[in-house]
Parts: sequence; C-alpha cells; structure tokens
Amino acid sequence: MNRLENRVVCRSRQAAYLPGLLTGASRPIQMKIIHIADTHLGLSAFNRVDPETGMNLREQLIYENFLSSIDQIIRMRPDALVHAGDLFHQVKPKTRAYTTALDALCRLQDAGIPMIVVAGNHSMAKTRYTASPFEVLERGGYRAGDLYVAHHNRYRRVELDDTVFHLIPNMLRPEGYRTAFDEIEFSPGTNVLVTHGLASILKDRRLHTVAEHELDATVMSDRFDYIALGHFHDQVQVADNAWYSGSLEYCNYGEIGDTKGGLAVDLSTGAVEGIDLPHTPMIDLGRINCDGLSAREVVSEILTTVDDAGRTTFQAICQVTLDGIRRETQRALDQKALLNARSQMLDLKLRVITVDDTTQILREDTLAGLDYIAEFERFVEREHLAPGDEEYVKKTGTRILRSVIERHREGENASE
Amino acid sequence: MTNLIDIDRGDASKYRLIGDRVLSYRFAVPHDAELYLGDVLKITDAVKRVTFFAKVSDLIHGCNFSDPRWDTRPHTEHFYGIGEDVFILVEAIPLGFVGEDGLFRKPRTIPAKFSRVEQPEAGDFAFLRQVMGEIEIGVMKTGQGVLRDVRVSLHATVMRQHMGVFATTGMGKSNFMKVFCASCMRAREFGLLIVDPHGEYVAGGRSSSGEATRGLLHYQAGRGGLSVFTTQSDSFRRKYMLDQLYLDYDDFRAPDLLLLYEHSQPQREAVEMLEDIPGSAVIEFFRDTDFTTFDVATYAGRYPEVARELKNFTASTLSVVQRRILGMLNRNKKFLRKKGSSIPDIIRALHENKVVLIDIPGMSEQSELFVLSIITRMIMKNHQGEDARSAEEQRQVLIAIEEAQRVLGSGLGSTRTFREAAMEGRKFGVGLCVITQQPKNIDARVLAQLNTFVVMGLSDRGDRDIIASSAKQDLSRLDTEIQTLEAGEAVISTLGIPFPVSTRIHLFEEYIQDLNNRPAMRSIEEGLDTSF
Repeated sequence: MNRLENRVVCRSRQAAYLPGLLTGASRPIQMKIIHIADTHLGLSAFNRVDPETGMNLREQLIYENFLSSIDQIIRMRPDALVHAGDLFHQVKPKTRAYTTALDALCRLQDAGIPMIVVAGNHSMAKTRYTASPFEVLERGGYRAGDLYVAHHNRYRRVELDDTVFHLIPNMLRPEGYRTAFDEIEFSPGTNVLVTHGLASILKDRRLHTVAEHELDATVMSDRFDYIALGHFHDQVQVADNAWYSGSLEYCNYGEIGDTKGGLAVDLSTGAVEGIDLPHTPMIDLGRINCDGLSAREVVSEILTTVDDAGRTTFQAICQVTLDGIRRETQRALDQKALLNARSQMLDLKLRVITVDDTTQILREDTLAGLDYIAEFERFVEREHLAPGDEEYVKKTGTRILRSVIERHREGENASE
Repeated sequence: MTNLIDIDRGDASKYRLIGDRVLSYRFAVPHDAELYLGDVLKITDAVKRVTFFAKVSDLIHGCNFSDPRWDTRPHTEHFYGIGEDVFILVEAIPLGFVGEDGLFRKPRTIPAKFSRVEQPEAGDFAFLRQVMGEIEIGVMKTGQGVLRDVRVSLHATVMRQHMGVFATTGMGKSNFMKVFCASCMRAREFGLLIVDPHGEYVAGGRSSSGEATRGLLHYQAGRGGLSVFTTQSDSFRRKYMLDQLYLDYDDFRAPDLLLLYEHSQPQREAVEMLEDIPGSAVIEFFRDTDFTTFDVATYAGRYPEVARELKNFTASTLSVVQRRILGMLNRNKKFLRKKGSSIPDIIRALHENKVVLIDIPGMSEQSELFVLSIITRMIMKNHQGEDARSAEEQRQVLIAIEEAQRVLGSGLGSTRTFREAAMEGRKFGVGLCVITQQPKNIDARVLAQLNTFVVMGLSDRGDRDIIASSAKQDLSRLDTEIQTLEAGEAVISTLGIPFPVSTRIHLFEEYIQDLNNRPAMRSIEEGLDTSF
C-alpha cells in the first residue's frame, strides 16, 4: 500500500455541524479527544471462573469494564477516541475479544465518535503470513468513516477537520519509528502523534515484552500539539506534549502504585485531564510485621486485614505484604484457612519479604506468566562466564528465547 | 678561503655511539650531515644483539681542536681545515630497544661502546605495531619526514585516565579532534561526547585559516558510530538523519548557574542550597514567585520545600537568582523544555560506543557550558550508579571539553561537576579530554590526572614547563622539538606507547577519504530478512 492510499481525509460528525464549516468560513475547530491505551482484551488470569458464563472471571471483567468505559467516554462526547495500542492482548485474539471490540465500535459509531487506533506490540503480527487482527475489524464494515487503524508497520495519516493524526504503529524494528517520523509532513493545523513504545526516558522501567521498542526524544518532537502514547501502563507525562494514558486495568502486581484510566485532551488549549474509567481495583491491604509471629498468628493477621478492608475487596485484586517472615513460617501457612477470604476476591497475593533474605523479593509476577528473558539473564549472570562470553550468550540466548516465546504464543493463540 | 679537506665517508669515528649514560646518547656525524631534531635513529648493538632506538634531541657543532676559539680567530681558515675534525655532535634520548624476540623494552641498559648508528627504515619499526592502540591519529614523524607505514594510534583503554590536547590557535586542533572522532567512530571502543558550539564538526565549515573543511557526516562508512543531537532546523536534521536535542527542567540543577554567571557569596550560597532539589521545582518556584512580597511563613505556592531552603536569604539575592534563572530559560529555550529530555538517548548512544556530537551552532558560550555541565553530571550520575560492574563490563565514556580552562581553572569550586569527573571519573569509566591553549591556567591537580598528552606546539615557556612537569613521560628534553612543531604535528605521550611519539596528524579530509575506501566491518545479519 503506498502512502497516498494511507492518507485518509474525513470530517468528524460532530464538527460537521459547526456553523463555520457549513458556511465555508475558516475557523479553528475546538477538538477534544479521549486518549486510552493498553486495553488488552483477551487477557485472562487467576484460574477463577464465572459460574454463570464459565469464562475466566478476570477475562470477563476486562470485557465488561472495557464496554462500560466506552459508554462513559461516549457520555463525555469527545470528537474522537484515540487508542494508542494493545487493544487486544494477543495477535490472534479470542472470539470474545473480537466481539467486545465490535460492540464498542458499534456504540461509538452510533454516537458519531470516530476511533483512531494503532497496533501495539501485543497485536502486531510478526510474520508475513499472520494477518493483523485489525483487518477483521476493518472488513467488518468500519473502514469507511469510523475506524482508522495503523498496523503492519506502516505509518498512516488521518485528517479530521483541521487536526492531523499521525499514526505510527508498533514497528518491527526500532529504527522504523524514526523512519516513519522523518516522513511526516506536518500540517499547518493541529498535529497529533499516536504511537506505541517505551519512551527512552522510562527505559529503566522496561516491560521486557516481545517487540518492545524505545521511542527517543526526537520522536517526541515539540512540533506535535499532542502525543498519545501506549505501552507503559502507568498514567504519566513524558514530555511537555506527550502522555501515556496508562492501561485501563491493572495487568500485574508491579502496577499496584499506578494510575489507571484515560486522558481527556483539549487540543485547542493543550489541557490534559486524567479520567477515571471502570476497572477492577488492585488494593494494597498493607504490611504485616511477622516478626515473632507463628504461622497461625500470621494467618489470623491476614484474615483481620482482609476483614478490615470490608466490601472494597469484592472481586478486587489484593495484596498483603508479609514483612520479616521466616521461611519455615511461610511454608507452614495454612492456605486452606485463607480460602474463604480469597473466594470473595479476584486474587489475593501474599507478598513475602523473608527475614532470612535481606534483599526484598521483587517477584512481581506478571499475570501472563514468568518473565523468561529476565530469568535467563539472571541465570547467565550467576554463571560468571568469561568477559565477552556472557554478553554473547545473553544476546544470542535472549534473541532465540524471544522468537521461541513469540512462536509459542502465536501457536497457543491460534489454537484458542 | 677555507681549506676544505674531503670527508672520508668511511670514517669510523662518525655514526658510532660515544655517549656514556643510560638516558643520554651521543655520537658524532660529519659536519655537513643532514639531521633534524626529532629524527629517530637506530643503534645496532652487535655485542648484545639488540637494536636500540633514539630520538635526536640536540645538534651541536663540535671539533677536536684544543683551541676553544678556533672558529672565531681571524684568518682561521689558514690554520684549521673543516674535515673529520669538525663535526656535529648529536645528543639523542633513548626510546628503548628491541631484542631478538622482537619485543620492545624500555631503555634500561646502554648500547655497547661504538655501536653503529643508522637511519632506520620503515621495516625497523615493525615492533611499534605491538605497542600501538586502536585509535589512529596520524603517522610517526622523524625529523623533517614521516614514516608512512608507522601509524600512531592511541589506546582506547587509557582514555578513562583522561587526555589533554594542548595547542595554540592554528596548530590543527580542530583537525586533530575530527581525526580522533573519525577513528573513534570506526573503532567503537568507547563513547565520546563533544559539544560543538560552532557547528564545524557536523558537516564542516571554515578552519581558522579560512579554508573549507569537511565534517564527521562526510565519513559515511563510519556513520553508524556517530550520533548527532542538534538544535538546527528540522530540514537539516532530516537531511542528515540527526537527533533533536532536548534538555528538560529536571536535568537542570541550581549550581549549574555558577558556571554561567559571577556570583556574590550570598548568591552562591542560595544556589548551592538548592543543589538537591529537582530542577523543575526550582525553575517553577522562581518563575512564579514575586520576591518583593515573598515571605516563607505566608508562602502558599506549590514548592514550600524550596521556600524553606531560602528562608534566610534577602529578597535582593533571590531576585538576582530569579533573573538568572529566567535568563537561562530564555537563552536556552531552543532546546530546554519542561519535560522530555534527550539525555537517556545521549547516554544510550555513548554506551553503544558512539561519538555523540551535541551540535548547537550559533548558541552562546553560556549555553555550551550549560549543556556540557548537565550532560557531564548525568553521565557521572549514571556511571556512579553502576559501580557494581566489574572493570571489564564498565562502560567507558570520554567527554571532550574545549577551552577547558573555563571549567577546570585553578580558581574557586565553580566547576564542581568537572572537577569531580577529573578526580573520580576514572573509577566510573568517565574520562575527560581537556582541550586548551593555556595549560598553565588549568588546575595543576587536574593536569596531574591526565595520562595522555597531545602537545601541538606551545610557544609559551610557562605552558611548556607545566606540561613537562605533569606528563608521565619526560617531555622536558623534547622542549626544543615542541617549540619547533609545525601545524598538524604533535608530540604524544600516552600510556601503552613506551616513549613520546612525534606525530604528523592525518589531514581529516584525506583520512576520511582513506577510511571510506577501507572495507567496513559488516554485520552478520546484514542483508538477511529478519521476518519470517
């Protein structure tokens, strides 16, 4: 597809009613957008099943929360909804993830709100023979005027009134972002960049996922009026004009301190405001000082803590920190005694800081499973290989591991 | 008329070692022999079967006549003939010797008496390849000529131990730096940071003598080893595929102001008091506070912690600091923004062992120092956080500081960042490349930290003396040679190369043409389709 084909020009329905446009007079459009990202439709975890539907409860709550969020966004009447990547959790989404996305698109279309989306690393096809999930949505009748998607490593330019959205999806190679950026023709009107990747300013907070690329400060150019970013799950500003909206949901326990939701952006003033959208809460129930406590007493303390939190923990993801617990005490904890408390929640994590080990155990397990890359790197470091060998083994091993994980994941998804 | 007696070229008294010290050689050559200061000569010791090398350090007319005034007597030509008895006495300093095993050693012994002294050939210097490093800068000079096959290259591993480049205007300092950069781009052994306020390094410009010069971008084969962060126009940036330079408020620390302005004692104290407070808080506090009515007790702004730190300072002091912060913001608005810094990208490029050029043409000296100070501090901070790494793993960065006397002078501690880098940087893999025309104005403690000296002609005796006293190798006996260096020539003293080397620095334009024609290292993945 050439660049001309990538260029789409249309008018948002709301703006079309502005008197200035009807008379042909030139006046700036006061465009307001909602920026969301990382909805990860299809993510499932915790082995909890909804008794009515038989579906993984976590997965079901994500669908329900997403549609509720869309309803809330529609009530805010934005001129466009911008999604900065990872709409789906997998390259080959589950059927229910598709139907949820289609439901959302129907509701947005009915409300006359166009949706602008880029493919994130989770929904980026890494092989030539894998079709993008967005092709399904585009062929579902949304190509014309309601859904604008950039995927398959191609930059796309979308004009809505006097605002140009420059869409750079997750790229196959890190340098792809710069190549796409350098091709951009800036509009004299408002320019918005929508892209997916990790701002280099946050590089210490890598997610270590497949096809995670860094976005350098040059791409975060001040020539854009606003930069809508996805990939990083906390709501954070990374340049004067660049924001991560954060994910809608807490996707792992490492995100417990994050702000979730979306951003309401007034492109005429540059004002950015965080908006709270429906999501499953993640609650830090606090820290229990386990010094001198027996296993039974620790369990009792946990139950008291959960009781004190009351109804807020219902279907919530909760965490209790057991500070200074001995390993043998930890092993002796009566897990059955916690079953009842756990049944009220979506999940309860006992975060352990053992007294035997002075280093805090930072096992921020992702719900998707073990971080094999980080684990492999730690293993290699412990082996104390000769200088040069370690770097080579890490580099080669990581590359192979990444491709294997990705193939495995794609195979797994395909079988779902 | 002088009574000339033909010289016997086979005269055994000439070209034979007659010196009597380990560290000083002497021999006689015919009075009409053509020798130059800096000539490197070979001394073949047939007894020990080793070959010594020595460099000519002085040439003296000598004779065998007992009358010390023979050459000033009237009609001296009637009594004395200029022949074998009149000669040139050559003083030479030993460089070292090569044994039968081909290894080069320091001159800890003396050649046998009357060892033969000869002009060496290029093949005689094959041993020098063992001692040369990876960063090529020129070819070895011997007297008037050069040994084209003997390339002088610095060792990458010693760069963390700081380097000094000393040259007066017009001696080829910019050319040297560009050659050095090109070799760093090729070798990719460490990261090199250069701030260029004149815009001459990127795409070339005019030399101090007015000639058109080329820039680092013209070294196309080494382009992968170069990252340029620029404030130039977007079209220029795109044309050459450069990065945009941004610094953000949190990169700034209040003591950076000390580099940019003269401060009274109270102003200095106020600024230093704010050292640990994030730059965004300091900037926004000073931007939004009216100091005519400022009172800590009633302050209701967003930064009470800043207000508390400043409670003991007068409104006039704070107003001056405010004016300077606003001036700094205004002066650097081209690249300074509230959030979104290029520093992580700069540090990443340095850690990928690239040459990182900060291209800020047309900006003031204050802006240059501001940028350099911030980036140096951030590099130090980054490396100090990595002290757990072993020496092999530690990343190495060299920071070039032009006109270094501005920030490493012997005055008060207005340049703490640079002083820290000079004193402690080597522990963390941070080296400084101190470039100056006036080494005597550099703090002696900083000079003592330098382990590589590139001396490109210094006419001032004070400058030469201070260099000679600071260098790790004895440069005092090269004083005459240093005085007589021509543009583009240098005496280099560095660790790894066992003696000071006289060097003809490559001409950058010719050097990159040569480099562009050399086969480049190709990635094993090049040309492969990585998608499947």
